[in-house]
Amino acid sequence: MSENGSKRSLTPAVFHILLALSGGELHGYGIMKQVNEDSNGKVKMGAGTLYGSLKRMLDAKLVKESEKRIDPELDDERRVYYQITASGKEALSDELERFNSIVSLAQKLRLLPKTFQYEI
Amino acid sequence: MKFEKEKIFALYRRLIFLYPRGFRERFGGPMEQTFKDVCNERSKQKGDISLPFVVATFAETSASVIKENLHEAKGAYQMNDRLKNVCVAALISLVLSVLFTFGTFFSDDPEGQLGEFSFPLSDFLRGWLIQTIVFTLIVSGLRSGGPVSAKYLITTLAAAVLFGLLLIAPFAFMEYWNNPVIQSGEVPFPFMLFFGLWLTPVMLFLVATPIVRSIRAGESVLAHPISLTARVILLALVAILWLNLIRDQMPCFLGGVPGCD
Repeated sequence: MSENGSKRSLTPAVFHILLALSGGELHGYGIMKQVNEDSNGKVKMGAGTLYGSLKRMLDAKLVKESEKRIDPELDDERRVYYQITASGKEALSDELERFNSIVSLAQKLRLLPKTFQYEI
Repeated sequence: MKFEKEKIFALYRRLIFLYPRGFRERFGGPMEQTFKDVCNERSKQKGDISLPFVVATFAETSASVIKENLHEAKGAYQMNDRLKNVCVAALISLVLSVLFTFGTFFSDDPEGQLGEFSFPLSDFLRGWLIQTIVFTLIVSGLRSGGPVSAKYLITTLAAAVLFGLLLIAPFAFMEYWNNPVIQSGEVPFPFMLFFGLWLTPVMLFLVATPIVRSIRAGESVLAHPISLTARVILLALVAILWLNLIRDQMPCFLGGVPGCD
């Protein structure tokens, strides 16, 4: 991700955060849990990585702070919610398209593990 | 090994404190809350907070602290801003040093009887350097924490000017009241001396302003330890200098010292 939001591949942290936020607004801890869930527990994002990435994503206008509100269950006003922007959706879509083309190529070249499985 | 949650939260709060100011102000609260959420869930699931978890979390955040500080230090905007502060301070100091040097000479020798004017280069450069350091602290302090409104600037400067005037007023009054030669006009009133005596507390006021501003904004007094140390040392040195000058001049203020300078 570049500072001006031009089309460059996203860092894994930024990609996972965008993916997590594509399902709706989330606060920091919500994002961490969603990332963990989306990656089947393979990606465990720490608070430092999360907020460092969020800072750069806010600067690049990939995400924005939604109206601060209190989670009725957790009840803390410091919980800030974030939501994906149109630029964020576009960046995520570009990245997914890039992944898709790589996967297509890998399938064509029969490099995917499943491709080998089918061969057997 | 079990840890008390409150102690870990306090320690994490201190770690967050090491982030650059802008980052800390924006994300410090949510980060602390997120950390609490993670810890609470962890202790709910596993019964306690383990050492490997604490070490891993603190290591991850420490790496982020270093990264954000490096990012901040590399910011071209910040560097330009600091350079601008020093340039503005050097310019103000240059004008004041020139005015003070020539002002002192002409105040001491209004008739030009002392002979030719020889420019005191080393004193001038020393004065300029010291003033540049003081004004850099003043300018950076006034501009810290975002753009400064004209109203804030005018109010602060007016308060500083008034503070200086209130401090020197009794001495100026004593100087005039106790010296008949000044009243009769035989000896001119030492305006340059009082200008120096007035300018010092004005500078002190402006150097101290950011500290007061931070405290009033609810920030810890130790939020900027380096800047605070520089300001406190400078405040102490200038205050001692000013008090010594007042003590030195006191016989003149009280009158009865002929040819007082």
